[in-house]
Amino acid sequence: MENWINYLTVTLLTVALFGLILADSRRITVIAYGVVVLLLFSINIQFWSFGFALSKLLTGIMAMLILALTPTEETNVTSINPGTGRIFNIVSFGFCIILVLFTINRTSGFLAIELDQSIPALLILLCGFILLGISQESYRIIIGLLTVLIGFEVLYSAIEQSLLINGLLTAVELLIALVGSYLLTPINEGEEE
Amino acid sequence: MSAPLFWIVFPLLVSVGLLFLLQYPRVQKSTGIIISLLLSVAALFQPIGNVLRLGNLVLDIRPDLQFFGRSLYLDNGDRFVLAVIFMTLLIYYMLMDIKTIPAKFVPFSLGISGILVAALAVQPFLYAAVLIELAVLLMIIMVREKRVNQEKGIIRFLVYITLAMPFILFSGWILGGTQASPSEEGRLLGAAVTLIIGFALWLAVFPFHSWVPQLSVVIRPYLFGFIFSLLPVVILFIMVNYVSSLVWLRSASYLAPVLSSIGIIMIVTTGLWASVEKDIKRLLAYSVLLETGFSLIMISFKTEQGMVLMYHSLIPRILSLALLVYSLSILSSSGIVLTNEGVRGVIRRYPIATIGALIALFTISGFPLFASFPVRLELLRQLGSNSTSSAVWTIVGLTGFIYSVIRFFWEVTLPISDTWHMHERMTQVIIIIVVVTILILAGLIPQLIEGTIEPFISDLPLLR
Repeated sequence: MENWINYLTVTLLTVALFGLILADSRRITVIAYGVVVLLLFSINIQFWSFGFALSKLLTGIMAMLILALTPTEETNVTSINPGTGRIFNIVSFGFCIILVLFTINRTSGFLAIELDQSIPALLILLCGFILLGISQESYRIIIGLLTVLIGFEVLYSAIEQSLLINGLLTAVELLIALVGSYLLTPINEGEEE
Repeated sequence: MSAPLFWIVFPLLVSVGLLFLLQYPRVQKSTGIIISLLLSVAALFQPIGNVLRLGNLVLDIRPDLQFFGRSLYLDNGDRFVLAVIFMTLLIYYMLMDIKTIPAKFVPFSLGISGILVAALAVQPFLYAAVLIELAVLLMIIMVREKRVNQEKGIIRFLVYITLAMPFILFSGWILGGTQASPSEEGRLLGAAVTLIIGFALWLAVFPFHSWVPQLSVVIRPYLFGFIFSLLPVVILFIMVNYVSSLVWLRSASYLAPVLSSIGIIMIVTTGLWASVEKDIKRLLAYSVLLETGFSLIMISFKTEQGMVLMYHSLIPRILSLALLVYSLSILSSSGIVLTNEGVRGVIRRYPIATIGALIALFTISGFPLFASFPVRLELLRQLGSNSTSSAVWTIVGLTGFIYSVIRFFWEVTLPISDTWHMHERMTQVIIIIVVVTILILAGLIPQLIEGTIEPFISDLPLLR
């Protein structure tokens, strides 16, 4: 890595991603997602312009807030078995970390980006895929989708400099959060057809 | 005036305007019919690049429009798909029952069509991925209603389509980097793989198809029919346009077997699932997947005949799907549960709607006398001349689907009661009879459809 501080940042990010996978309430999910977005900003700012990195941070926080402020009936967001389910999730993400670490040089070479960006991006991407794969609850699926997108955005923005496409990707992320919030809003009994 | 301004910006502006008139569904429907008729007639008869004279007014229809440094480009090769998109819109507006279909359908469907045309027109191609995503997000708002337990199926739709976007963008980036040195085979293969995965997610190709039946269960058949009349067709056109623009991919030895195998797997799996399906809404979803499988096989021929066959198949495909969802909507809005048990003996209460649904399913199956029959026959002939086993597997899949259609036929015609009543309204009867007549005429005289698409063939992408 170019900067030694990023070892610490990536470690913290991994912990936050574990938190995101294991979260059993909306509050913990929102906190973990917020920490991921903030740590990603601290890495991105070293490679991108301040404005560009800030726009990604603001998008991530806005998406998180849109989902956090959505009124839902359920407070618990996970129905996974607290014992074996959690172990399965930890092991799954553990395998993903190993996969990233073993393939990172080749991946970074292919994409021609620094390890400082490629490692967190891939970890976030795979965490998002795990969330999409294991989640039954709509809230966690939307969070998983947004996690996949923020991971992909780091990789893609590092290789594709076009402002228009990056702006559109940001708009898509926000719209997904909005549509997710729209879908998650409970239907009042009086409104039900 | 430029063509993208007319076929993209204009419908988008009208759709925004219609959002302010949601409390006037009749105005919405009438406006939708007029706009879609105007746009489809213009696509059929007005060559792009020529001058349009309206009395003293002379309009030069230019093919391109610059937008934030990017180009939206529509030429005569796109007129056929423009006509298909806006004709589909016209059909659905004409079939729209303002009492049961939410008023937001007209503005959203018009906006979605504009964005899908933009996805076809945008250059470079990778922007199409983001535009399709935006169209899908609008589709989700359009289909969401005040009903519980709808979000699971819709979220699956969102997830699968969203996952396609990174793959398409990534392949676009790889190809952008390799244009200077096309000899990098590893990167080209990577681009091809990501591109195929992206299109497979978009087209709900096996094994990424599970969201289609799930979505069909939670949304209205009419809205499902609209989405799946437009989305797969536009994506197929984007795919054909893109593949034909890349010489290395068009001439790649693996392209035809991959497309053909995927198509056959889709047909076989769809046929098998349809044969054991008891939910008619899910059968509707399988009919869409079956059609996509056939389209992929036609593209895999990589011949002019194969591509013309694919374009030919679009008209019966859209008409039969529209008829099916319209007939099912009549049954559904009358409180009939759309399952094999629910529709038992329904022909004696809703004879015309039931006959409409049956004829639509017979058309999709490729029964003789109906519009898809000449297409299916020619496809099997061409497939059989290339590979007998492929043709046999396709027939196996088709047999499974036909079995489900025959079972539906058997269920709806069971003599549950002795009396016959016709509960359909006169307008519904007329609409169903007109569409059925077109489907039968197109089957008896296939030259009708051939004659319609013939003027466009020289400009269409043919993968030559």
